[in-house]
Amino acid sequence: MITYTVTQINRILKDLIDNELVLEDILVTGELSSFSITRNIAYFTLKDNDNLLSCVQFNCHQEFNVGDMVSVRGNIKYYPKGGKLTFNALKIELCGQGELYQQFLKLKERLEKEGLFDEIYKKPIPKFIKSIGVVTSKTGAVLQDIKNVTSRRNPNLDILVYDAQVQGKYAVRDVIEGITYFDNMTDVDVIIVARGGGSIEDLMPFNDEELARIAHICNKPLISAVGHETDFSILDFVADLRAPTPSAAAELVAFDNVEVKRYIKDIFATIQSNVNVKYSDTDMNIKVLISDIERNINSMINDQILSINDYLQSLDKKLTDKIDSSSFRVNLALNSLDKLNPSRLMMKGYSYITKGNDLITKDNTNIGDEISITTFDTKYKAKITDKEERC
Amino acid sequence: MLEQDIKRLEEIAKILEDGTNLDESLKLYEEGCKLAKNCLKDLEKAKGKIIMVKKEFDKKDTED
Repeated sequence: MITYTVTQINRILKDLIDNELVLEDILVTGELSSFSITRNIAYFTLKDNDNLLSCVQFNCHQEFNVGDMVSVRGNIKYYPKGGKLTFNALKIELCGQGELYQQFLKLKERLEKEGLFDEIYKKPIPKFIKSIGVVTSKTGAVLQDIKNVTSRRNPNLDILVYDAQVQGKYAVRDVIEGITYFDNMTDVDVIIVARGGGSIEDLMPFNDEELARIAHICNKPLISAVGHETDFSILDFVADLRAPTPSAAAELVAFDNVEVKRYIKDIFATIQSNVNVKYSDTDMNIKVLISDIERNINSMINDQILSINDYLQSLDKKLTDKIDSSSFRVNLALNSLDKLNPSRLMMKGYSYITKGNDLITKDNTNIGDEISITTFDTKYKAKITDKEERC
Repeated sequence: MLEQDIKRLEEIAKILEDGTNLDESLKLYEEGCKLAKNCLKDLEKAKGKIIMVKKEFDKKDTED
């Protein structure tokens, strides 16, 4: 048996692989499961099913996204220094999106049609809360980020943690349990499901249908803070609120004490201005009422004056009429009296004869009695010398 | 009072028209003349009073 040094065997491998025509100028298709670019050198991994191929491209000027389906042209090279085999890419081309991404899109479309993402199901996030239930890995940096932000903004906020695996095969189960656990806990106001960024495979648990349905029926406001700002998951769509990052989620729920003071001040100012408006409205109403009453009373008084004047006039007329008719009656009576004036008769030659104060009759006079005869202008004294009854 | 006086005057005129003895007629005539004079005087007074009251009322009205 031949013994080789590492350098020797690596050189042999490099010769074999680099000169193997089958591995030269080949085209490989697969899904991008990771992609990063530094100083124009792109490091990425192609995958299908359970197989991976690590790749590198020098002079790369194009960014690709994890999940993209690509076809890569290049050569397989062996790097003795790292003892690694690499697909040295010369050209990367998109060939439709990756299978996982397709699955994600299909599920998203189906759940959207079902109405799981509808706005009517979105519960408002309470402005002032006392405690947050965070579903995340107890050991992850994400939890520390959340704690840092909340303690800075509001040290009185309680943070309860449900330790959940956030990637791998138990992630879905753990996250579902975490959400259910906090949903049944009376002291929790808001639930945050948090995880840092990662590849599409890493984030796949958050695209799980069962998890989506549990999140949908969750009674408490649920915030999804999974991955970076550019990563989207099904949970983001079904949650009541999507925070771009876990820190942002903490910012959203942890109210600032200064903010509370300002908020209360604002409310107070609103109440005050409302009261003022109401008061000035009422003031105005009273003024209008008083002027209405004044106008009504004035018009009533005017009506009364008019009717009193009418009465006065008719009274005046009635009184004058009465006096006139009375005068007429008196004059009429006077006229009659004048016609019957006995001295008119005497001017025609008639006279009257009295004995004492009485007119004479056949019974109160006898021969020899003294009598008075009154004519128009003279009164005579006479004695009765004879008396003869006429009938 | 005035009304009573007028009524009496009218009564006197009626009695005189219907005719009665001279003695009665004279008395009634005298009474009637007196009544008529008083009535006319009272009526004139009433007219004067109305004018005065009216004047007083108008005066008060302009003062307010």
